[in-house]
Amino acid sequence: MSAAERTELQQTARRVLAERAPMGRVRELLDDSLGHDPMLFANLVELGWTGMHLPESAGGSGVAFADTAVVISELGRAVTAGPLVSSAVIAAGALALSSNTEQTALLLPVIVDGSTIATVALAGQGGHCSAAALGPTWRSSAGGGVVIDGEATFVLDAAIADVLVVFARGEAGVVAAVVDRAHPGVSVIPTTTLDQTRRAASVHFDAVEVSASSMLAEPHDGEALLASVVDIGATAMALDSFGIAEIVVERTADYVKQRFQFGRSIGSFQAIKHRLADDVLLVETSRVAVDNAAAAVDLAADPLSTRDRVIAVATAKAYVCDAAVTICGDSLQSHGGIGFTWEHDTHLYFKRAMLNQALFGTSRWHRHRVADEVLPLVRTSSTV
Amino acid sequence: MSEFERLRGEVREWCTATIPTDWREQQRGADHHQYIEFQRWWRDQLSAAGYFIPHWPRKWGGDEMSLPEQVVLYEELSRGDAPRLGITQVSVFNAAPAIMHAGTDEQKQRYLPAIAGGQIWCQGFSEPNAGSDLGGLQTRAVRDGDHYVVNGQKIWTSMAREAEQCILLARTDPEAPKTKGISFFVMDMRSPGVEVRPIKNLVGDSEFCETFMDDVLIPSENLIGPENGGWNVSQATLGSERAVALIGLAELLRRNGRDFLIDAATEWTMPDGTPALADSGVREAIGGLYGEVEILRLVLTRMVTNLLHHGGAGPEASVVKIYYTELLQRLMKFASELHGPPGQILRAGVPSSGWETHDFARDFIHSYSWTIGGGTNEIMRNIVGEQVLGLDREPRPAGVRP
Amino acid sequence: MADDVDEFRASALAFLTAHASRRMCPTGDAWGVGDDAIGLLDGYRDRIAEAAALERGRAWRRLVFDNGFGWLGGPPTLGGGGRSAQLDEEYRLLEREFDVPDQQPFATGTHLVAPAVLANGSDDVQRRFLPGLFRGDLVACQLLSEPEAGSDLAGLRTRATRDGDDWIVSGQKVWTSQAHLADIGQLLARTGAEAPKHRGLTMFLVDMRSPGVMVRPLRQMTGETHFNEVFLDEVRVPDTNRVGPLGSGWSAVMATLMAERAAVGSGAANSAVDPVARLIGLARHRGRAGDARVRQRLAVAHTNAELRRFLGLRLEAMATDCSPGSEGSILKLLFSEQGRSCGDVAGDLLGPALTADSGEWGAFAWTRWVTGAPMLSIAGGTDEIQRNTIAERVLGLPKEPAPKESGK
Repeated sequence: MSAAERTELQQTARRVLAERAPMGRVRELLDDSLGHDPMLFANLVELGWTGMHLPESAGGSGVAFADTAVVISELGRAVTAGPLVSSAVIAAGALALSSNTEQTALLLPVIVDGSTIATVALAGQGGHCSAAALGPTWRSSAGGGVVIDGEATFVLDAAIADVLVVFARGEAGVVAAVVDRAHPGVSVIPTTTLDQTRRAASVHFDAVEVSASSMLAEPHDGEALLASVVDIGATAMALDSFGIAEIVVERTADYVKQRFQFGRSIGSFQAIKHRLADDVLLVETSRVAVDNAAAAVDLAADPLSTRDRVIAVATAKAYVCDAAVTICGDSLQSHGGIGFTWEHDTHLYFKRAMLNQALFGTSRWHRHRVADEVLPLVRTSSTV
Repeated sequence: MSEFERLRGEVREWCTATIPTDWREQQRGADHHQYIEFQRWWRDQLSAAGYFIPHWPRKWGGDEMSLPEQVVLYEELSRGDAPRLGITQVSVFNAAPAIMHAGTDEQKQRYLPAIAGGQIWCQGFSEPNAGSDLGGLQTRAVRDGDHYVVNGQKIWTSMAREAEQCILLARTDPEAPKTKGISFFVMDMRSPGVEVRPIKNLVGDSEFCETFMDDVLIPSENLIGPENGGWNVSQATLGSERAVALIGLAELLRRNGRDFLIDAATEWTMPDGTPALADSGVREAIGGLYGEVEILRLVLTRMVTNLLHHGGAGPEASVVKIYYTELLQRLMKFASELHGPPGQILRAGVPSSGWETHDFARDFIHSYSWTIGGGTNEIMRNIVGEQVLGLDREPRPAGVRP
Repeated sequence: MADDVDEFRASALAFLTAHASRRMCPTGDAWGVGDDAIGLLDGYRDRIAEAAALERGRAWRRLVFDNGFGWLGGPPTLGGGGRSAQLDEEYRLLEREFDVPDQQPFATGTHLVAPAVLANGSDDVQRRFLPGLFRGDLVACQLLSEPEAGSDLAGLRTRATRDGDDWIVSGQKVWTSQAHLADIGQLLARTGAEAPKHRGLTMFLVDMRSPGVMVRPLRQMTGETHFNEVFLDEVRVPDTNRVGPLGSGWSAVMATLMAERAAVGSGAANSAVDPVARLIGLARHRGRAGDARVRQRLAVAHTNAELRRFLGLRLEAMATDCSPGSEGSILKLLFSEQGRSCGDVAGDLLGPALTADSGEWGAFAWTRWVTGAPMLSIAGGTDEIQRNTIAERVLGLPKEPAPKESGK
């Protein structure tokens, strides 16, 4: 898309979400058992936003990830619930990158047309998503496939997913496989998060047999696929946080302009003003960070070196997610008592920013990934 | 053995005998009614032991406990993981000092025994348009014969649903400069015309309320201090009581914040499987927080010492307020981030547990009630700049009345 | 216009290659080799050496100008190339790869004074001064700030009183870099008593060799004497040296102030040495590369530098989405933050080695960075002023209200 087209996409997304998923609707869904509005999801599918950046052969539009990135940020800005990101961005990304082209050809089109919802299941105890800390484990099965056991935590939208893309670790390495959620060995236990605009769950696997044809990655390429998928997830979280960062600064500025104490608008006091100026800095630097990350995970472009991709994504994930949390805290402080109420929207942004910060790798972990690229270590037996 | 050591031992024993070891689990997810019941029970225990209003004059039911003894008491209660007594915060720490300082003997007789008996009071000061600029409050009290007629709205009134009495600031002279036209009343919360609406806060609790007054009648003998002298009456909350309460809070931060974090983090691992506490960056941060909590305690001890010798808390209280609240916030933010995804799981709160509920993410968000409430930290910094450093106040904008 | 740029680069490179040699080791790239200097402010400790360097610099500058690369964005009538100003920046970056005499002394004239003269000066003033500024014949300094007028520049007190065809100027200026080397000074003086106070200001160009001009060096904590106080004692300035109409000084200096912010925040003021690369090398060579704490801080330093770089590129490429001035403020704030934080990391890695010179390569050299960094948050508009600008221009927050006792 050209810059002008991208701006138009952003404006359309903003308008659609304002009409179909305004704050009132967001609040209604907080305690909703389903957790999202299937009608809205259907609308977004109709608009072509599931898998814009996926190959045309799969029903996508084959545009740059940067274009889908616009939609992801708008969803964050509107704190929208729903499986678009889990399914059409992260899980779809895993499928698109997999060498199992048959599975890709089977599943991508139904993800794009919205009839199938997919999500990735990989985090282990403590929510970690490194190869060594994956939750599910695998062993070889007789027919050339694998048997999966164990538990994946913080799986987004697991309860409404039809298909799970599972990453599992074993003696020989990491594998990835497609598993039906309806499989008898799979049980989903919802995890209620502070952020009630999204739904997560733990998924238990009890001797789930996966045929060879459902394998997305074998031990020789599993770890690389895992890293790529984690990077797509991390980028999505950073983009969601960027949307939050922007709107929170806008709304806080609006508030402090019209809130009067001591005969003047509180936005004219330097303590408030300077804090917001620092937040503007965070937004502008976050903007370039997420642009870089989106370019780095673009499926259509020539792939970057792993080093360049990791640096771009990990930088953005740590920086932007931290920035959004800082901005939300500053906003709460600037709003004073009113921001502390349930009725005010600040906490919705704050909690979502905190969850983004935690999922698909903590900031600390991602900074270590950057350090590993710019200051590689020859690993000895222990790491301090 | 010194008197202090004896007292320490006595309180410690009492805590062991009285505080249920599982009270946090029992109170997790308590609704408002259960919270109030538990609070009343706890207050009764404290009262029976003479720990409820130990510093009050004997004539009003206290023990005239000295400042250092109070420090020992609150330290030990916190070390014993005592529940935080919230329902009598206003009655004991705000209403009683004002009445003792500015009330007539008749008023003291009327109100103090009830407070000593555990009566719940609320505070009607802040309004939607008078937060930091409290002097701009608009609730109106008009004299009519032997009573005042009150109309207006208050906000952030905690315990308003349970309170029997309210200490209320209302404007009695709209022509006078802002703070010189305000009067201090005791308002019966059961009066006709008083309406209370709870406010749900961002962690889901309803500690605060809005209070609406529609032609509420307050007898003129409920006016505390002179008419239009209410601002000074409200400032009379003794600094010493605040300081002592802060010591208890510092102990809780140490025990339930910092030390709990270190214990919990012992179980946590990094993604590569190594213990979180083996990461030198984590160690540095925790070491820093450890030291800062110790510093807080030392600063508070010094503040209390100064109170003893010089009688007033002065602007030091503002410094401490800033330091404590921001340390609490930083500690909880760090803990929450270190905890990662498991920290994001929604757990029910423990209403009597104060600011450290063992749920770091929740405590981080909740900490803003302290950087905002009790005077925002921005206002506190103004006070420090102006009163400690003698910096000029912001000039009043042209056209704005004092 | 892409062809133009490539074509231009080719011709610039040809010129540079013909007259200079490439820098052997871009400082900092090879650890332990060459000069380990890492500082934020250039400067000489010895004014004699400095004067000699200036002469070499002038000679090079003349060569560059006479060969058409001195002022690509300027009008041909004034000796310029009549092309895009972007090409001047391209040339400057290319020149940095070559071993040429120090060109820093001319930056004040070309980047700060020239924009004001172009925006406000009469044709005569432009003709008489601009070519000289770009050719190196005229080295400029700024006579703006005063002891009582820093952030609040409009409150300045230096007075200029009309006397026939001249103005008599008296007052005191401060923070004037290279006043001791300059041929002309860009002066902002009070010519009228109008209110608001900035209405009574006028800009002049002062011959620094005039009687009554006294320059006194100011020694800064990095050790150098880059800045000066300048005392003006009834200095005679011809009215033909006035830049713009009477009372137009404030708008004239705006061009300079905006250019200064952009310059400090962008590449122009960047250290030639990459501080992050140096910090990484320092960690490695001091055996701290495996320390998780250090790795986190290096990742943060890397991130901040990269994001500042990308943001600078992005803002340059855009035709101001932010209103004028605020992008310079954003970059300047980021740069001052980077100055501080890189210094902190260096201190962390070096410990005592930062306080005394042990001879270790790349260690004590950091003192110049650490003692120079605070300047970034003060000069060219303090961080506080930048934050005001950002909040007011980007977010539309109100300015501080006028106090009840109305000001000048």
